[in-house]
Amino acid sequence: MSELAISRVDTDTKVGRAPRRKGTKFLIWLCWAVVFLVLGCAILGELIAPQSPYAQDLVTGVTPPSAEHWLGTDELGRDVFSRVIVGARTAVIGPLLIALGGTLLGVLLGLMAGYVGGWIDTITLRWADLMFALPGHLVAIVVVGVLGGGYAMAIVVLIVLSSPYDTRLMRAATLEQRPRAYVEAARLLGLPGRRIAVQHIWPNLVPLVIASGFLGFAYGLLALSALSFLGLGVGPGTADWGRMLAESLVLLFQNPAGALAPGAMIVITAASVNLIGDWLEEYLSDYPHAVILVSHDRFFLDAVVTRITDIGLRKLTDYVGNYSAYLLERETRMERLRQMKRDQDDELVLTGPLARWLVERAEAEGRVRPR
Amino acid sequence: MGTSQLALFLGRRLIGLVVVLFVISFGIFSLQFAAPGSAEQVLIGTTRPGDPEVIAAIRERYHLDEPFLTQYGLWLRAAFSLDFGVSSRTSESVLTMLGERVSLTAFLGCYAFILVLSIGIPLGMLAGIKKRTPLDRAAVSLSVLGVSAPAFVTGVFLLYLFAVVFGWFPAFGQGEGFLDQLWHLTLPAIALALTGIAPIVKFTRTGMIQALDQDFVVAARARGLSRKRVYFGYGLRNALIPVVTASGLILGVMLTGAALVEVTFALPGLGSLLIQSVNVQDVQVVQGLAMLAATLVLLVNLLTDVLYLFIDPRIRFSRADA
Repeated sequence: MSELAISRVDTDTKVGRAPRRKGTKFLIWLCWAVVFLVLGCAILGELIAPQSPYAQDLVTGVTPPSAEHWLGTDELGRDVFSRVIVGARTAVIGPLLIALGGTLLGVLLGLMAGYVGGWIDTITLRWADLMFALPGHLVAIVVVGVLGGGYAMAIVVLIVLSSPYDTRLMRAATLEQRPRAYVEAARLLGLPGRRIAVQHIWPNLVPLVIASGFLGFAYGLLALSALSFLGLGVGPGTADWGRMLAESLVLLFQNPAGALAPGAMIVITAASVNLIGDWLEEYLSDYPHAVILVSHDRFFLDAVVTRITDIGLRKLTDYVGNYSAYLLERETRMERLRQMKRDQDDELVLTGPLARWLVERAEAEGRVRPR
Repeated sequence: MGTSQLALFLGRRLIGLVVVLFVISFGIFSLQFAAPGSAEQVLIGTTRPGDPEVIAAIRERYHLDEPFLTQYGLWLRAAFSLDFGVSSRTSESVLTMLGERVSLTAFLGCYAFILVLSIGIPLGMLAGIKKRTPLDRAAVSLSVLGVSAPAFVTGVFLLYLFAVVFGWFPAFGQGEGFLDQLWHLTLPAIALALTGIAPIVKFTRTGMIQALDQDFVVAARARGLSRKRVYFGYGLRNALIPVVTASGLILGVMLTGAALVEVTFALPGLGSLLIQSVNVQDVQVVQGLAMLAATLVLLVNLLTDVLYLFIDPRIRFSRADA
């Protein structure tokens, strides 16, 4: 009966969703373009930068944008444009590691908490609550600041701090999947819990995870650049957007581009990744052109299905009719099997002692070797 | 829910708060051992000489010869009476240093908070009422931008636009007297508020859309209640529940934002003190600030829970039989 309620909710949300508009699509293409541009800069770096990002020219010093230096130069005469390009590297690697690590940790904990339940669930949930109650970036500032370790330490701390988002998401999603028929079927088959969680529940949660990975990337980018801005992330002089902003802050009157350009890059990149994450979540969860379809929606199945093949008890069984008919048929069949098992057990109670006695006597007489 | 049940609920929450504060305070206390170098080196700091007498005095002052847990107990007792020791950077009492700077940060925080509420909630409400109109799209874009723009970047852009280009506001300084301070802190407060507005707009908008979709709103409209009554009494009242829940989150965002904004605008507040202290590993000051922030966050979370009870009577009644 619980499944019925879930299906209702699903259909309701789909009806309420706005039709996708052309404008949105263009915006998403733009966001992807930004992401690939930043990725390209991160990979190629020095190769496409017009000048060396680290070459100093103390005689020139700070200059506003010119034909030679498109975004001007900083205090040490370094070319800001080249530094912005190379700065993409720390803006991609760190957040990528944070998104991957945080998602992995969060998914493992969330799946475990949701599937196993019990005290593991309680502890995980309390931990996530505690992490939520703490202002994450502030904890990162204190821990990275006092412990030292710069960029690498910042990444590790942010992985731990970002994982509760995924833990909660995964736990809730797992709990939603758990009572569904396919999980029950897998349990009936006697599959171990680990396998059910990884092979059966996990694939249904992938869209959520991918979308939250993008959001995790944006979180990582903002947190890391804030730490670098405060002088706690990358080392001094590194071409990093946050660091550049901090170093050019006092030069706002002489060369505003030195601070505004890296700042704009942070915002544009983070906004693009955030928008893609939101869009992806929606897109992956209702792709309209499905040929092979995985559905747990009873009403839908009832409407379209005419024949059902059930994999259970190490056997393929064919049922004719729609989903409701199948459920009924399967239940009677399972009941028959259960009855057979009960009959067998009853018989065993009667014949068991006799059989054992016979075996013992045979052994005693030395006619049969003990197994 | 009767008064006794309310007291029970509050009592349970308070005990939870104390437990969490214990866990956090242990972490904060451990900072002096987790920092690179021995505890006495960390507590002496980099600016004071490492003479044997000084080391002996430090060991005496911070009870370093006692067992670890006794040290923690003594530290916690001192922390309870707001004594976090002496800054290793300036040799001033941590409490005095915090006291000197708390007013600026409090002023900035309140200013920004008022901006967040007075802009965020009406904007979210309007966007929710006028769903799928240009106004709604503008509000949503603003909230995406707000989520993606850290306070220091918005700060720099505001600084450039309004202080360098137009010259309407001062680029630095905190001002004397109330009005001057208000004028000086306007740009920092806007920068700080923008990060807090984004989640408020988002939550209010979703809450409003969901609330206006309910049958009781249709019924209210059918009965001919005025729009104002429907939007405020039926829509906003329900939409505010998730907003209140999120206020702990928003406080966290704004605390970090305050540190970033104070550094950006070179304001001598608690946030910039934290950054200065962290950069020279002035552990005592960091411990004091961290305890202050943790207590504040936990208290706001408690307040949220209580507010929640008053805003949503359904929770009061459903908890009553639990």
